[in-house]
Amino acid sequence: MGAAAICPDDPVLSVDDLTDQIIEVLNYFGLGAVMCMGVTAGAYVLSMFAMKYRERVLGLILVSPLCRHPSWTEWFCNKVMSNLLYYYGMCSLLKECLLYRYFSKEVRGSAEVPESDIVQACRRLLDERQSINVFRFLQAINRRPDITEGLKTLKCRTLIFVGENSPFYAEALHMTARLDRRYCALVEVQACGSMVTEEQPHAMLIPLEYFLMGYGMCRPSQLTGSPRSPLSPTCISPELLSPESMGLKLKPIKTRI
Amino acid sequence: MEIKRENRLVYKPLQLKPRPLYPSVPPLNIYRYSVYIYLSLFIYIYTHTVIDEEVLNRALFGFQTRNPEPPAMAESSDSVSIDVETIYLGGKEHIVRTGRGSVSVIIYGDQEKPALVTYPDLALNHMSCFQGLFFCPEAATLLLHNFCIYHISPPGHESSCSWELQQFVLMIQFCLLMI
Repeated sequence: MGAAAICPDDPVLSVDDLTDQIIEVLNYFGLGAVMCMGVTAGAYVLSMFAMKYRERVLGLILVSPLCRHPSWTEWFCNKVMSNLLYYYGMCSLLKECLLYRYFSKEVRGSAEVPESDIVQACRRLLDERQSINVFRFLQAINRRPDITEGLKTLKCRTLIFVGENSPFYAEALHMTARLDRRYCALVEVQACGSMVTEEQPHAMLIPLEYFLMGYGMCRPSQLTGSPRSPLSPTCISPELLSPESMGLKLKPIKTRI
Repeated sequence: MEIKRENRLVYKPLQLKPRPLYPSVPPLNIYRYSVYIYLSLFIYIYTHTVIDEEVLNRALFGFQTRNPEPPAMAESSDSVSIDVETIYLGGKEHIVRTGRGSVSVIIYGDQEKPALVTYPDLALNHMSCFQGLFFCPEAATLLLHNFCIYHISPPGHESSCSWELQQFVLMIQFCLLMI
């Protein structure tokens, strides 16, 4: 019962309010500058947060981010979803809409191919959501302002991941084009939807490692890390760290800098 | 031959006094006791299953129901009192009451390390959005070695307690109503 339905009398929070919530959380824990990682709507909230409180953000790791007003298709999709949420709650059609937003066709399955475990797990977790709470977050996101102009002022390093089959692919490309090229890198993950964190987390590993190296953060040494970890420097020589030699099932990654 | 009227066999239905159905309407107390029995049974079952006290508290006095608008917020933008801590699959859950409602934050790792704040997508929370990345052992070692992770949930998107717990709370409320 953690996530009880929000009382309908409470004012609907805008994305601005959500960023203010984050700063209050940081103040509460006494945190200075932090690294931020967000997915789609979360990435939008965090990049807006980075623009408002520039000194509090060390770096941004964004997965299929948004930055402009909703496109016509997204706006339409969101309208359909909010109507479904309002009138029918968490119905199966709504779940299909949400899964379309998160995952690529490959994992969502089709008539011949059954849907994968992550989609099934996600479906189960979606059942727990209170439709009114989702409705309010969706409204906030659907009314988001365009933050393209503010992107140029961002001075923190930014690492953007986007799945090639994501509905927000164009949005991520637009965002990368507007960011300062010196601080920004885009990683396109092939055959993947918006949620790279769930669908292909292995593809995020090497770019993340290089990104963190820029901050002087090291990979775990043998003493502290797990001895089985392929990242331990003594286990494997650095030239073997390419995805192919690590034996991971990696699909090719195009990297644009 | 005449049959005397007196000698005639007359079938007389057995005149039994109708046995009182015991008790035809049970006294109200019976209901009351059954409620107590149910209540004690449920309390017995649920106290013998492992439920974190804090989770129970949170479930019984849900924090998300209408925020009691902290008056201090008008003066300062800093957050005010909270502290509900829950061990949640190795992470500690804190509920931060901000000027715009309560936010659930789940912390993994050593708080001395630099912070990594995560924010999920629509209708998701850290479980459904970042689980894949943090369950991947290489990524988990890389991130947890360098960072303390703060998973922030959008309002109303925090992970809910188990279904049984919800049933338990409903049962308690029902019993209280009955009594």
